[in-house]
Amino acid sequence: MLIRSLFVAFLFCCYFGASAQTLFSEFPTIAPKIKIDDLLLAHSTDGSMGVCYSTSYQLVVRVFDKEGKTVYQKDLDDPGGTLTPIGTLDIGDAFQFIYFSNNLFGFSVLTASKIDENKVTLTKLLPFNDNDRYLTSLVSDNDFYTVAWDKKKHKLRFGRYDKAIGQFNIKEKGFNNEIAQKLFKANIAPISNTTIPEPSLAVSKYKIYRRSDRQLLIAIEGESYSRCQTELISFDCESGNIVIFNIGQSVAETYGLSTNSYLYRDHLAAIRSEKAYIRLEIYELDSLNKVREFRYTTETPIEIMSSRLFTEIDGETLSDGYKELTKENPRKVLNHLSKGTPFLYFEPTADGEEVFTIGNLVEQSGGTVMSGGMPGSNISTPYGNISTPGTPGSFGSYGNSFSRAKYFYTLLDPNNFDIAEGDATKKAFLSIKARDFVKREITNRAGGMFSTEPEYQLIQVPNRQEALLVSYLKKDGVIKLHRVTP
Amino acid sequence: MNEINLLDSPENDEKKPATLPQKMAITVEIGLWLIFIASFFISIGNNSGDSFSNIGNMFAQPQAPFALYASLIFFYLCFGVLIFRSLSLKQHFIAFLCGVLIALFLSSLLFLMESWPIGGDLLVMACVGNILAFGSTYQLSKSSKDKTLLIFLKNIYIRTGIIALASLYLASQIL
Repeated sequence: MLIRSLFVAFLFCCYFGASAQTLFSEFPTIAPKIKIDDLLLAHSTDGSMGVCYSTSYQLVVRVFDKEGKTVYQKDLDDPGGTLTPIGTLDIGDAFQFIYFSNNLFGFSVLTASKIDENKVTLTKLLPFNDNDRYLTSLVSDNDFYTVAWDKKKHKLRFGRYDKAIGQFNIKEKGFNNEIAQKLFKANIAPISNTTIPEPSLAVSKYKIYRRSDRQLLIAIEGESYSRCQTELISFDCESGNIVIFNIGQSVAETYGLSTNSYLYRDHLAAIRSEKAYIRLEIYELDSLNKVREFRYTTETPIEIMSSRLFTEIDGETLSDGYKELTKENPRKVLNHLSKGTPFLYFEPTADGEEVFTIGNLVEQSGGTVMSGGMPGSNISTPYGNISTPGTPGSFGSYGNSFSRAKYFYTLLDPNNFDIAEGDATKKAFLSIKARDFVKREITNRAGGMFSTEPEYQLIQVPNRQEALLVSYLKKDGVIKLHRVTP
Repeated sequence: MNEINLLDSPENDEKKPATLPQKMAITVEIGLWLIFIASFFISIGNNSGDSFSNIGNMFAQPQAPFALYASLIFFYLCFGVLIFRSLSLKQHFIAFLCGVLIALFLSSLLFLMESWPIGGDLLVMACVGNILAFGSTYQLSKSSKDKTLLIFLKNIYIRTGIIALASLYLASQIL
């Protein structure tokens, strides 16, 4: 009888343990209904913009006109799978997005027609099999390269999409590197195997820039001894030498420098979201000094530090900037900007201008969706993937979630986007002339992704007709660099 | 400068404690169970002889916590969403079904103790429902990347598993 009683008591104790967990533990906040995992943007010469992004459930293609209105939308469901947009191809008047589908075990080409035609043409390409894990891809002017990892054979597999033919030029499955070299004429030679020296960071995100044909810049953001740090590593592809700069010192007390940044004319433009604005900082790479800072709010394209923050967000009025903002603590309003995925990239247009796009994926109002970084989730741009943001301290947490995305879209006059003569630290060397500003909003559904796997990035080296495959293993802090010659 | 620093400071609201209604519901639930168990062991202690070895007889005693049973069943039926701390609509639905499932287990035990008809049927229904619920939500948890949902389902699994095991054991003693 005693044993039986103890057994019953044990069961109840277990049950109480489960009850106590729900009572005392801090659960992650509500799972988002809406989440944008990956995002592709494509601009056309007439000012319209195509957006392709994935959620957990579907792939969405939307076309905005010049005024920012949605003129076309197509949702593509892929039950049980994940559709990930990975690149765009220029095919003239239409927006063509390439996306990867885990469910279909291969690549598909998605062609979204322009505004007046209202149709989507799908072309499915199946270069990989279900053993492959998609790693990375690179879209160049004429080719689309992609790399996958064969989970069973533990080998990299390369595919190249020939735009002229309209299909991948290899259809065989299970080929190894030797066959890949034969068929793709690709030479895959390891260049370097470099371990990041101490202090090793618990890396939350990284981004790789190609500064020149032989020099890479790798920005790594992470935690070390519970403090956020950002390291910028200069990597010489020829010699394998690395130089480490810590450019995040000035802001490391609060943040590491976001790696959502862009390298432009020897200046690193870094962007991160803060409570009430998006901060854009310009670093000079030679001296690694911060030479300029901008703050962006939702309603105004450009705000400098002393300016009023914003006056109205979605009908909620904040009149007097900082003071009223902090006194009233309108958390609900602050969430519009404080939680999101800031991103930034430049894109040349057909008429020689450069489109400077700064944006922020903003979670839904209500403040119930958690913020934080989600390693592995990217915003894909024609110039590479942008890691999802969040403070490094949130590394490992369940990631960002959005019900709404806002894009700030500014056309730049390239003549004004230059370095003025003289002391760059005293003069405003960067003059952004906003000629157009269109706010676009996206609303869609949700999901989530959490990846701890190594990250890969394919970097194009156009002058040398080769690409660099960079793998970064967060766990060991090892960067491996391979040269891929088509 | 203080205002600016405040604005610049990062958000730290990634996790949330239980809300007051949730705390109240879970506390009441634990309280009901504690009273129930206390009365259960008291009833055991008040018996002697052969009946001491029969847990089913203990439940059948006049002091058996019939009212507590009804309260727990009612509580699980009505406040499953609060008790299990569900967060999204999907979790609310699962929490409600889980509350119904646990209520079904408790009802089946009550019916068996009182020797009412369909007590065994209710137990079989609850067991089948438990298996179905586990199967369906396990698939959901495998396919979902939602960490919140995984924590929620883990808690649900533990609770329903323990209730099912205890119910089956007690039912075997009663029968």
